[in-house]
Parts: sequence; structure tokens; C-alpha cells
Amino acid sequence: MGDLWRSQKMQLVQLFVQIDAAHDTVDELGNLGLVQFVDLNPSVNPFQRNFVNEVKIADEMERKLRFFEEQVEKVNTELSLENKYSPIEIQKGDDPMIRTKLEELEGRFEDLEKELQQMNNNQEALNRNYNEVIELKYVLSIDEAFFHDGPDFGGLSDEPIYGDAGEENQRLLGAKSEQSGPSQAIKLGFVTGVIPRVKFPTFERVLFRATRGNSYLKFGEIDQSIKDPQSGENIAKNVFIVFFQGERLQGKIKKICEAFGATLYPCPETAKERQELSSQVSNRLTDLKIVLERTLEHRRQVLMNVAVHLESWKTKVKKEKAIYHTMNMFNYDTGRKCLIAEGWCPVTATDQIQAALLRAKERSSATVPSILNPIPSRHTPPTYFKTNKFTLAFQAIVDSYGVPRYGEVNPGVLTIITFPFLFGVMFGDVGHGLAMLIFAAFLIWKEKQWMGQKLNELIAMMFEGRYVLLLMSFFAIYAGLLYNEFLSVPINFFGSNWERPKYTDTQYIPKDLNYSYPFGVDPVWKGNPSELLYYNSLKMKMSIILGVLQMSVGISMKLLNGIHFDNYLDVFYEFVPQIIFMMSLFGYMCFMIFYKWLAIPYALNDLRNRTIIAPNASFPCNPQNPGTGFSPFLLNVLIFMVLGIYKHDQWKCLYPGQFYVQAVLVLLALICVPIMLFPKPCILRSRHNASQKLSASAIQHSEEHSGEEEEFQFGEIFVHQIIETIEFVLGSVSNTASYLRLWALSLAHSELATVFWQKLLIQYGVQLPSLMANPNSTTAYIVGSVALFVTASGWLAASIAVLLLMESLSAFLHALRLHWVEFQNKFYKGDGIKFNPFSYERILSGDVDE
Amino acid sequence: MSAGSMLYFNVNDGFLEGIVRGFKLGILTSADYSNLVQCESLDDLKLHLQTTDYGDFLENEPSPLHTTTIAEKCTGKMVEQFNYLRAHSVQPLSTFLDYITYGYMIDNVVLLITGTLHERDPEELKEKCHPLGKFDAMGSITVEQTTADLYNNVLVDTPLGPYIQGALAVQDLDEKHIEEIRNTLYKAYLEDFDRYCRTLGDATYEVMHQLLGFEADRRSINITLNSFGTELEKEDRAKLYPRLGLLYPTGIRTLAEAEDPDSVQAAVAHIPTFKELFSQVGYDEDKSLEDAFFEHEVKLNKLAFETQFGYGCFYSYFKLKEQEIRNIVWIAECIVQDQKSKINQYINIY
Repeated sequence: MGDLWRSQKMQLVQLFVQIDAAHDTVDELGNLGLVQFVDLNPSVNPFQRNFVNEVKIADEMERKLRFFEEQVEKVNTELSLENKYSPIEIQKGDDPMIRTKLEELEGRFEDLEKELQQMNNNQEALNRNYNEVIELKYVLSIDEAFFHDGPDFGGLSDEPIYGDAGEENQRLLGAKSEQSGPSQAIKLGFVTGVIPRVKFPTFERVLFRATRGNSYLKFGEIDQSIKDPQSGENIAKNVFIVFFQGERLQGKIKKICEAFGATLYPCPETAKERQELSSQVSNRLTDLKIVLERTLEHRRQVLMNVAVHLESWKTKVKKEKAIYHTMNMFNYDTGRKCLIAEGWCPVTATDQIQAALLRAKERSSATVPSILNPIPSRHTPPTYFKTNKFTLAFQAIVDSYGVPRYGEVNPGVLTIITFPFLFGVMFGDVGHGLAMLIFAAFLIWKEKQWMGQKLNELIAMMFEGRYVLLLMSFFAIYAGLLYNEFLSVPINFFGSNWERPKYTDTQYIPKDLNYSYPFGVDPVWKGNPSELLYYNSLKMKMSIILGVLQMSVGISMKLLNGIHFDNYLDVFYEFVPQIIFMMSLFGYMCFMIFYKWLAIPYALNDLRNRTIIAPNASFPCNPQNPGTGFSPFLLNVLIFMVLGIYKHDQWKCLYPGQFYVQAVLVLLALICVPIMLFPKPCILRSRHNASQKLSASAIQHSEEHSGEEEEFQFGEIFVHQIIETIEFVLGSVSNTASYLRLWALSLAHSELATVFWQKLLIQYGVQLPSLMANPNSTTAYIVGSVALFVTASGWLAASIAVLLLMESLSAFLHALRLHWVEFQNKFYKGDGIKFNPFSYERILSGDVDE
Repeated sequence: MSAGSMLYFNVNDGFLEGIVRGFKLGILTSADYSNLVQCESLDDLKLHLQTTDYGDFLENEPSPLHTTTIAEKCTGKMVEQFNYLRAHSVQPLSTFLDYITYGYMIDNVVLLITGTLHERDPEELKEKCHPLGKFDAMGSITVEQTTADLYNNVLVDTPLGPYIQGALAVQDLDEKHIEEIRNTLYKAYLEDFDRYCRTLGDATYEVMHQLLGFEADRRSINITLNSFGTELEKEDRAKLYPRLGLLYPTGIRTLAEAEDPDSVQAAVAHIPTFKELFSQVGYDEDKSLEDAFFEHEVKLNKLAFETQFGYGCFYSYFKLKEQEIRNIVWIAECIVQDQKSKINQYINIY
């Protein structure tokens, strides 16, 4: 009955694989992706399994690959700074490398990593050197400025600062130089270096405290940020120079500098020497620059070779890791030197698996072929549906509530149509449907391009549901045609049957009493004061009919499940009473709705009479006008049918003999309740007692099973049945009422659309000039065009944001709810386990963690 | 905090409390430990830790692992969690969390001073410091010669400033006095922390007072036990006891008189907790007093999670985590040194 109707037949198979062939076998099966392996040693620690070393190697290789990738990126950023070479591109796609063994790759990675690390170390040393030279350059130039600043200071005069610089130095220290006089010579030393700017304030403070203020610190900022050779980050640095007095302080200050990680540079004391050093430094700088560039080029060459293979290496290592993870789940038979694996697979796939095993045997040139034999299992098999790109999203809607139990009817099949249909009922508008259709078509058009790519989460979600969107838009258009709404405006396709004899008349008269509008709603209703009454009546009734229909289909699914599982208890004591209950109350209600539609409304006399009698002349022709005509309120009929059975003489009758029909139906429904409640648990109990007696005579036999079989507890089962019964009986009322959301949402949609169209665009945009004093003046045209522009953009924005996005989302959610709750609770167990095969495709796309 | 604090607790701290309780669930369980002790190599250990909340924290480490790397990375994980909490916290929780770091700061200060005495490289020393106790001027500690300098130049800027005042009488930063400084700092820290917790309301104080009190008692006992055979005078020793905990004030007085391990035991025997801890050490050969203390501390910290509307669980979480790291390092060391017989001496948490 199709691939989706019930789960594929699954079987548990045992595989005996020769140890040499194991790797290739798993590889082939991974390509096939149709076997879900069972963990045969769940109690064994991950690090005590058979192939844990291989997994470790793969982990290590993944680490190295990450290292390579990081290096490539690093070089790319460096290259982008240099602006000379094009960045390295990591090639996508596979290459023949894939056939190489893991061990070979491992060796290669090892060498590559060593080479790269070696190069990095060299580079780092070079960078450090380079930094030092740059820092020294700045130290020299900035210090030069410091020495210049004090005009009397030794800088220009070539006098050694360390020497007898007396007066000048004292001025520098801020002491009262005039008093002390030049004779009191003081030895002044200095230390200069570079320190990271962030550390500078604390450094300054500590220095001040430690020397008790007996030091003088000057600093300058290096305007070029210096790259930290290890982390590669740019660090802002300061040049500082400290003047101090005395040997002891020198030691202390040097220690503080060390503690703060400052680099000290020797600075010659005379200007001449400084100049010499400075020119040396710039020579070295140019040399270093050339060397650095060459190393970068070399690194680029090496990494280019890596980048070519990186992607396929990654795939390879990922696959290998997955293979060994899978092999860790196997049993190792030491005696026969083979691995035993167990796994679930679809029965239909047996041939494919056999072929894969054969291929693996040839590939690995193993002598003994692998053996595959199905084994019986008491566990419930996983549920597997063969989905395609169209059915996938619909199945996902069902699965997110619960995966179907193995063998049970899959609601996903019906969901394909009913879900978009119910959405359409709530979202019925041709214009909005078309907009959605365009969007869905766009997504489908992009399908080839976007498939298998990482998309933005939001877009990915819509992309996955593109076919759902497509069907949703179809049904929205269909329902829009039924409601006759195009962006809330009706279209007069076939000519309305109603007319106003004179333009000033407020009344509509039918042209031809035997004619009805061929498809959908007559456009005359839209915008008419009685529009709401007419549409509400129509949509409410339609919602109830659709709801009862869908729920009845749901109950019928129970029948199919009962037959499939040979569970006739469910059929006779659940399905039969439930469907009778549903039909006798709500099925009857639907009957009445149709009856009222078909038999009553166009009674000509009634219509004629009422056009005259009706006090409010604006809706003379509403056939369902409450309290008039022959027709009773259907809701009241249903309530009195159950509650007021004794005062049937007060009823307004829909058809002759109504009382007797209804009495019988209510009785039928009442009888159904105990049938739902009592027989099933009682029969289960007597069956259990019988089996108990049997097993008492054969004790050994029962012992085998006693572990698995659950304790039979009559109380629990009975309570469960009570709950089920109550849920169904009450649920049938509340669920039917719940389908009224179809009406409510569609009402909200059409009203909102009307408001945006009528009140915003027409009233303020189109009609504004006509309200002005001189509607034909130029000002009126200008005002009108501006108003039209503003209101039209407002209308468009509101239509997109509110109607197309929010409303569609809310209609989607309500459709989802109607399926999950109202429809599926009639039959759906949804406690299956999803088939989760070992498949490269899924592992590589990141769907599964190992 | 008033009685209304219960009403408003979750407004400010509910999120972080949830986070920390979530973190707590990631603490290794006895099942994890029983797996860990079966490991044959550090790679096995890594493989198993990957399945726990530590996740792939060792992922990018090249293969021959060292215990130091493991310890470093574990601590890194803890620091990451701490910083997350600290960054999301508002007053007064943020101050409370800061108080937790002061303990680490004290350890770092002492470590640096000791390291300098032994003429270690300052950079190397800094790397050894606990990342939670780092502060700006830390590096310059290595320069200082006297306590006064230490205070004036470095600690005055840090929260530890007020704590050191008790130790100013100690002149030189040498081997002999270093422990005195540590204990003085710790004493002041514990007392201050306790005082601060009192302002945070009953729910916090109830838990924290007990935890800090136990810490204080443990220190008092350890100081006494370690002082035998050193030059530490009794009067000086008495000054180091924190004025906090079950032993304060009577127990401390008797403790001050103690002259040998037996008299210590006698001095604290009137407190049932300590009587029991000491007796545990008596009949279990493998167990040291320290282990007994740790075990009791773990118990107390676990109890902290039983209370609501207080900050105790934040403190306790990091204490438990610290214990967990000690356990992992112990197990790792035992694996490396092939001391399988001792591997079970870790302290189980959950």
C-alpha cells in the first residue's frame, strides 16, 4: 500500500564478518545507509572497546586537520595584509585520495604537522626578532625626542648623561637647582624599554611607590601596533624611559620592569652613538622584512598543497572514525576470528546488503564470505518510511509529534493533503495564496542550488518545507476562490444573481430564483451589511463538517490498525462504539446542516414574506436569519436532542418524524459508552487468567517469559480504559468545537485583509482627494498622489507582515494542532523508534553525532 | 537584605542560581570515577572525560598528554564558568563572587614570594598562579623585600590590602615568615568574608558561616599540627587562629596550649565533628587527616545546595569543582606513575 502507509517490514539480521573484511564491509554498508547497528556491548566502557585505538588515531588526525585549517586561515589573514598573493582556497569535493589507507594518511599528517610547526617556530623567532628591531627603532626615535625636550640636557651636547650633568639633571628632577649649585654632582642613570600599553598605568604607579618618587618617568606611544608572535594579536605598546639616581635603584627598577614583562633596550648615551645605532637598525629592518616575506611565501606554498586535499581528508577521517565507532559495537569472536554484528534493516533491502557484502569481500580480498542471516527478535523494530523530497516534510510534521509505532498506520499519508487543506481553509484568499505560491515556487526553483548547503536557519526551515508551502498555497487559492476573495476584494466571474432595481435602493432582489452562483460565494455578499452573518454561517457549518469528517477518518484508522494487528478487541469494543457515537451525534448534525442547506433556504414564499416583514431591510434575504422562517437553530436542535428529549412538543421541527429519529440516535450513543468502557478490560482479564492457569501447569516455561512480561494489573488497565472513554466522549464534543477555529481564523484573516484594504488604502488613499473642496484642483492631485503612495506602502507592508507572515504562521500552527490533537488522538500511538541507519550521507551532513 | 529578599531573589540571581545548579549536575559522579580509575593511560582518561561535561576540552592537545595539561585545562574550564557567572552577576552577588577570588589571590601572593625566595623565573611563577587570583601588580611582588614594602607597593591597591595589616609586624619576607603571612592573610580574609556574608541575609549567612567556620577550624588545627618542631612561639601561633568556627573561642584557647599531636586531638575532642574526623584517621591506615577534612568539606558543600535563596551554592560549587580537579589530577598522576593501589584515594563527590 505504498511506502508511507505503514512502516517498511524490518528484520533483525546477524552478520558474521571475517575480521580482515570488517572495515570494508562497514564502509560499504555506510555507503548504502540501510542498516542500523545494535550495540552488542553496551556495558563496556568506551575506552575498553576493541577498536578504541583506531578511534583515538582518528581523533588525533582530526586534531591535526583542525590545526592545518587554522594555519591556512592564519596565512590567509597574513596574506590579506600583504596584499600580494591571492588567498589559499580550500577545495571542495572529493578526490582519488579517498582510497588511501588511514595509516598512510596518519604518517603524512605527522610529517606535515612537524613541518608546519617547524616553520611556525622559525616564523615566530623571526617575528620576535623583527618586533625587537622595530621596538628598538621607536625607542631610539622617541628617546631622541626626550633628550631634545630638555634643551639643557645632554642630548645634543654629546655629554654623557651618566656623568657630571649636574644642573640640567637636577632641573629635570624638579629639584631646586639654583640652591644646590653645579658643584654637587649627582649621578643620574636611565633605563629605557617598551611595555604593553595596558600595563602602563600600574607600572607607573608601582614604579613611583617602589622608588618613593625618586625617579622620573617619561613615555611615548608607539603609533604602530606590534604583533604578538605567539597569539598573533596586535598589541599597543609604549616606550618609556626612567631616570633615577643610584645603583640600588637601578637594580630595583630593572626588576620591576622584568616583573611587568617590559623589554629593556640599551640606548647609547650620546647622540652620535644613537644615530649610528639607528641607521644599523633600519638596515636590519629591511633585511628582516625580505626574509619574513620569503618565509611567508614558503608557508603559502606548503599550505596550498594541504588546502587541495583538506576537505577530502576531513571526509575520509570522519568516515574512518564512524567506521571504527560502528565496529566497536560488534562482538568479537576470538575463536573464529570474526566479528559478529547485529542490526535492523528493511526486508526489501536484503539483496542490496548482500551485494554490498560481496563487494566488500572482493575489495578486502578476504577468503571467507560474510554471512547474513535474519534472526527473530522480541524487540520492537524501528519504524522506517522511505520518504522522498516531497513527502519528507510532511512526515517530519508527524514525526515531531511522535514516530509511528512499528506497523501502525502512518498519519503522514493523509497529512499530505489534509494539512495544507485545513491551512487553506483558514488562509483562504486568492491574492495571498498567489504570493505564497510565488515564494514556494522560488524555493523549489532554487532546489538544485541550495540542496545540501548550509543555509540560514530561518531560510533552511522554509526551504525544507517548500513542498508543504506549495500545497498550502494551492489550497489557499482554492479556498480563496470558494470564499471569492482576492486580497479581500470579490471577483464577479459569472455575474451575480442579485441586483438592486434602483441605484438608491438598499435592497437586493434575486434575478432568477432557480439560478445559483456556479462556484464559490456570490460576490454580492462581500461588503454587504449582512456579509458577516452570511459568511459566519457558511464557514462555521463548513468547519464542523470538515472536522467531523476528519475525526471519523481518524476513528476509521483505528479499524485498520485493529485489523492489521489482529486486535479484534479494539475493533469491536473501541472502533465500533466510537464510530457509532460520533455518527449518531455529530454525524447527524452534519446531516442536518446539509438538510437545511438543501431543503429549506430557497422556499420562495418564505423569502418573499420576509423581505416584507423583516424590520431591518438591509438583510432581507438571509435564509438562516434566526427565529424566522421554518428553520430552527441547529445548535439548539442538538442541545435539545440530548437534554430536552422530554419536551419535544416545543421543538421547531426540521422534518417530520424528527423526534423519533433523534431519540433512537441518542439511545444508540448512550449505549455505546458502556461498550467502550467495560468489555475490553474484562476480556483482557479473563484471557490473562486463562493463560495464568496454563502456565501454572508448566512452571519452567513461564519462568523464561516472566522477566519480560509485565505484571498484569487489572486496576491499572481499567483506569486506563476509563480515561480513554472519558477522553473520547468529552473529546468528541470539545474536538468538534475545536474545529471552529477554522472559521475563526478564516474570519480573522478576511476581516484583517478587509481593514487594510478598505480602511487604509481606499478610505485614506483613494478617496482623500474627493473629500477636498475642489477635487479636481492640482493640490488635490498632489495630495491624492502622496496619500496614495503612503497608504499603498502601508497597505503592502501590513499585508506582508501581518497577513502573509503572522497570519500564515498562525494558520499553520492551528492546522498543526488540529492534526496532532483532534485527528491523531483518535487512533495514533506515536511511540515508535525512528530507523536510524548507519549512513555516510547523514554523518557527513552533520545530522548525527557519532 | 530584608524578609522580602525571597520575593526578589530570582529577579537578580535566579538565572545564575539556575546556571550554577546546572553546572552542579555536571560534576563527575561515582560512576564516572569508577570508569576513570580503570583507565590505562591518560588518553583513555581523555576519552572518558570527553563523555562528561568536560566535553572536548582536551580536543586540541597533541597526543602524549601530561597531568599538568589536564589540570590546567580543567582549571580553565572552571575559570570559564566562574567568569561567566561573574560577568552576568549584579550586586551583591558580584561582590560575593569577588570574595571567592580573594582566597586564590592570597595563595598567589604567597606562591610568588616563595618562588622569588627560591629565585625562580618570574614569568614561570606567574604561569603557575591560579587564574582566578590574578591581579594587575602581581608581577612586582617578586621585587619586594619586606612586608611593609609588600603592603605599600603592591597589596594596597588590591582587596588584600586591609588583610595584611596584622602581618606588618613581620619584617622580612623569608621562608620562616611566609607561612605566618599566609595565615594572617587567610585569617583576616575568612573573618572579613564571614562579616560580609552576614550582611547578605540569613539564607546566605547560615550556609556560609558554617563553611567558612569549618575552613577556619581546619586552618587552626593545621597551623597547630605544623607548628610542632618549628620556631613558632605559642603566642604568635595563637594570633594566627581565625576567630571563627566551632573552635572559637574555647577550642582555640586549648589549642593554643597544645604541644604535641595528641594534645591537639584532645583540645578539639569536645566538638563531635572533629572527634569523629580524628577517630576516622585512627583506624583507616590509608586515610590522612587532610583527606578526612576534605571529605567533610565536600559533605558540607553538598548540603549548601539544599538551601534556597542564598549565595552559598555559588561558593560551594567552586569548592566542589576544586575538589573534582584534585581528584582528576590524583587519578591522572596515579595512572602516570603506575600507582594503581593508591588510585582509589580520591574523594567521591556525588
